[in-house]
Amino acid sequence: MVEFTLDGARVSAPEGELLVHAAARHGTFIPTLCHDEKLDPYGGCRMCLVDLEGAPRPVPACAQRVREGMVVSTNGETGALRRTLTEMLLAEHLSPNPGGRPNELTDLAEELGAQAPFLLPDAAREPYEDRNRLMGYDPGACILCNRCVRYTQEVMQCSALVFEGRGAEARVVPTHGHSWLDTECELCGGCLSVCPTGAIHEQFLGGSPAGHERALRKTKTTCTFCGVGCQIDLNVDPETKRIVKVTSDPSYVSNEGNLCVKGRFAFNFVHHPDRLTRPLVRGDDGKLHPASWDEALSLAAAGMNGVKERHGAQSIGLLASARLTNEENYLLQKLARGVIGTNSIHSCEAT
Amino acid sequence: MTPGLDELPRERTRLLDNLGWVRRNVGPVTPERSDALADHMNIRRGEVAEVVSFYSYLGQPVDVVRVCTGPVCDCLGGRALLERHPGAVEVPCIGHCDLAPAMLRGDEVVPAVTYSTNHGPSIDLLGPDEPREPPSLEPDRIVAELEASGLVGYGGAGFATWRKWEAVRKAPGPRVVIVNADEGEPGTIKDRYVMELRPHLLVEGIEVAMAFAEAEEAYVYLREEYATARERLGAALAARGLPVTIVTGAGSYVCGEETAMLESMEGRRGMPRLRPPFPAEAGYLGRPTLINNVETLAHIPAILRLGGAACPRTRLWSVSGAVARPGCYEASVDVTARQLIDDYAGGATEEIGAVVPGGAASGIIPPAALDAPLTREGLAPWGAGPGSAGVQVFPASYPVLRLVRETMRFFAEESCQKCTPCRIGTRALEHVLHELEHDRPAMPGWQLEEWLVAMEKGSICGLGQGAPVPLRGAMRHWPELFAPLLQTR
Repeated sequence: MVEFTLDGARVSAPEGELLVHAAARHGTFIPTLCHDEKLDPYGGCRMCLVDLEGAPRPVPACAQRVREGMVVSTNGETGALRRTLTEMLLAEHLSPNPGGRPNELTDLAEELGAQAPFLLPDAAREPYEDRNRLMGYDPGACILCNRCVRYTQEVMQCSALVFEGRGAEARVVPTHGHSWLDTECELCGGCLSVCPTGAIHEQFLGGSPAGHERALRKTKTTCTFCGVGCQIDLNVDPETKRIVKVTSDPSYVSNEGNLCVKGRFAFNFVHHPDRLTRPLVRGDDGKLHPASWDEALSLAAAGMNGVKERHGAQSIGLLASARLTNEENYLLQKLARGVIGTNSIHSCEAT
Repeated sequence: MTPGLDELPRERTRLLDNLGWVRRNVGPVTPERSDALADHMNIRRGEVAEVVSFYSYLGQPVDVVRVCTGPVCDCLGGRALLERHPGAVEVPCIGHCDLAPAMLRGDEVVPAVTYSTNHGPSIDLLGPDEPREPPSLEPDRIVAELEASGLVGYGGAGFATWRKWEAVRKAPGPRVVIVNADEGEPGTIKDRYVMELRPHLLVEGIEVAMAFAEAEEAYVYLREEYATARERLGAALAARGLPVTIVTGAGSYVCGEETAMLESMEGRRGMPRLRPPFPAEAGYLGRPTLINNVETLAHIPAILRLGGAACPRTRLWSVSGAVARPGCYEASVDVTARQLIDDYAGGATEEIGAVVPGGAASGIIPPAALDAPLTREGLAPWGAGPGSAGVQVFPASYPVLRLVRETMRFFAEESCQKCTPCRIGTRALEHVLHELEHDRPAMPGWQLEEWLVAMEKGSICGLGQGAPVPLRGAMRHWPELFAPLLQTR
């Protein structure tokens, strides 16, 4: 642990911790736009500049590591600097709410009372259309913080988005301006989860989800798609009572806010009319009829016992769904080996 | 798909070289060629695409015609020249301001180079250029001589050379020496003169630096537009059999910023790094790196031979614009603009309106300052500095607002886009100046001041930090031009 001075108070933090995090633990919130805990420090947006005694100019708290005896001030001149930087970003922020996601820039602008004196004549970027049906991108909301690009490179280790060009022509775009579908992108949506302005946003067949994310009711649950157990928030429209999007928070332990394409986007089955919500048993008329669990399971057990009696246990194999947890897989192999008496068990996750 | 591509080295540090090879031997780097190289080098395609798009020239054919519209060329008819060459690419300063308006047809400089220079005691551009054994001194003695000589970085920052050298020796090896030959500061042509006329002198300086740093490898990061320099320096390095690699840029001003240069050499976009650490501690591939400007290194042989205190303190002045004999002249470090114009450059060709003393971010001084010594101290009262000693003389007929707007356009186009104040500030200042040319205030004066401060204090590198300097100079010396801004609340 080291001790340092933060706005006049003596505080302590583990040596090498990033100043922005150490300050937050001591109740001092330093705004950031380009910073993300999952990514290497970038120091581009400059929103988190603080005064550091002895440094020739303000330093970014997102890249500065705490050290013994340092004297930091977050509320001096850098406060005015923050408002000015916000004004600058607003001068090319043509599209503040493209997809209903939270916008940290306009929130900050409201808090600081910042307004752009003008819109830059070259603020408009080339519009972007993508034939994928899950993610939309409005370059008019992009602040070139590079978080999405760094996420693809540093977390996903893939080549989906690039920071292209220089000067007013610079933009963030899928590689070569192709569709996401023609890059290495797996449509995990991680880029949109780290986007501070909602420039990249969820988009489904019917367009962006209705309403702003803040008006949606979040219910924390576990993703049902596989055994990893990613923690997710189902975002429910309070009026229609339907799930309209899935988000995840970086503080969630098993997945740190990262999701895959299924976890983030494949929730439509929940409300689908064809979804099985109770067991069905095929009757003598050849059609499926609702049944109780006891009925259905007894029937399945009887059927399998019949096969075992007629053809032996080795004639039975079990294929486990990718959705099962480790514990469920364990139980299933007990059923296969101990009860049925076959070693033929496999999970469809093993391709 | 591309014959020869399979032979190219796969190290990430060779990416820029390889891209240059593709451009020269195959053709402009298209997305397909970029992907093919990425696959060959086992780098993600997107990361190569990012790099390609960062530079101005990789997507251009090798024989492209480039017309300079940097401030000096703009003043002397660059735009008219551009109109006469349909299909030509407009580029900011190409480092041939002595020939303004300058044009490159492929590697060929139009009009052809004519050297106008003088004998000088340190670099002596007209002196005989031959391979020579470099002076051999103990490292401590070298640092002491450099300190006594008062030598500072002549790329523009003016940092004391001995401090840099001392810091590198303190960091544990292996160490690397890099020569910054990416001379991109508008109005500055001196490093090109050194490399074209005294390449062996530069090589001598490199040898001293490598021995001092006990470096086994060295690099020269050379701007793409300097084909003759590339050839002559390459021959001089070969004559001494040195393990020095010339890395050719691809058209990016900010790559002259030393940490952006390191990024560029490591095969990434040339976006400046956060400091600390400084390159002397952790530079190229994380190794302690000694980075010096061409001219700075070229002064070192004379300093070590004559002794730091005895060596005459001169530097190379690039003089361009409205003068009879634009060129590069070796003169005292405290020379005045009037002496350079009258005694070296043959006098002014028109009534002088403004002088930019040392490159785009050095300030703008009025005719009243012509007798001020062009030193840090001499120019401070005029809100300017000597920078890279690229003295640009603008006639009274060239509007100051246009000069500043052209300069700001240059900064805006060259901004790497990493940090907000530079990324948006430079474009905003160009807009403010454009509006002022039409007597329209784009923002109130007090707010403009806040934006300038944000750029100066908040930008990562010298590009954004220095971009307000010419505007401040103009506001100070020609306040009437900025009156509309002050009338707004």
